Amino acid sequence: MMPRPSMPEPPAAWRLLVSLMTQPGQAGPILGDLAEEFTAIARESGNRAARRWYRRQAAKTALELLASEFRSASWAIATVAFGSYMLLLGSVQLVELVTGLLLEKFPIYTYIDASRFWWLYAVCLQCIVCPVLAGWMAGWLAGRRVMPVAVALSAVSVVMGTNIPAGGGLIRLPVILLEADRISHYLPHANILLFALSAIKLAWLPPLGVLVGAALRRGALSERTRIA
Amino acid sequence: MSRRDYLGEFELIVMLALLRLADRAYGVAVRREIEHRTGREVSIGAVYATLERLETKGYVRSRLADPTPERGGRSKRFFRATAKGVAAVNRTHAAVQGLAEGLSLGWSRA
Repeated sequence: MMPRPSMPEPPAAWRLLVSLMTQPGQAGPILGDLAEEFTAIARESGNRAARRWYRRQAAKTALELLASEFRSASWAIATVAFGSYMLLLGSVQLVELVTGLLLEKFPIYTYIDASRFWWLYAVCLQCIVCPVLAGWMAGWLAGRRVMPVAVALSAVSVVMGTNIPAGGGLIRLPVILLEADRISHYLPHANILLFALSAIKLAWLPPLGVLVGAALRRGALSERTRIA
Repeated sequence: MSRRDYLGEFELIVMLALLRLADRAYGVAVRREIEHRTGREVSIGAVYATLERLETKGYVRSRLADPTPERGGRSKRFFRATAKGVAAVNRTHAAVQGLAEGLSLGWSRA
């Protein structure tokens, strides 16, 4: 007996994107519709054309669903995103405060290299752990609108940064350029543009952390909806 | 009469597609019907976002059918216009017709 050819599968990453952007419990029919059309196109025009169609449809669908949520509950989303941003700033400042106290009370640098310690608190804790927790909390506060709130919170984090006034955030770039004279006075050999870029070089990490935290929360919600 | 009593352009298109498809109206069918009748390319997301909004307003009702293997084990969600939805379609259509009446827009059928 001839083996039956296996059915082509839609791209997993794009499926995940669509399911993240739908409200918990509502992804099934949308993914089913996309899968049905994907199979029909694969049969008629081949896998490559079907995958191309799926990627375009999934991107458009995710954007439409996101835009629809923003249109229908813009104030609620903005309020929760702002509250979550304050929470994120607070947690980053708390890490800063605790780190300062630790450095004051204990001779940390005799046990751990300074750059390694910086990676631990400034990168791991402030740029990854705090944003992931803030994203999860934002998802919890957002109820069913997890991803719209997370996208809004990420956008605010990109622009404003997460460690005011220490750095990060696109808003920091013009501020540094405006203060070029003062910085040149303290750092006479520094290239101001490179200095500004180095200040925002980790700006992409917190927004990504926020999205990961919210996606984890969204996954937990889906699981609960499935069990219920 | 408030502005909310009228349907938006795409809402009207989706409602008319639902009425045409009757009890066969689910995401793929609605999307294809709109593309076939209007020549306008729409995404599944745009159709669902509009249907969700219409359902919130009480113009549409939905039910889930049994899952099928060709859809990866996922069910179809069938939509149906309610009486309130049909009234909204009539009201919007009448408003558009009323506004267009007497204007020479070159709408004569080919």
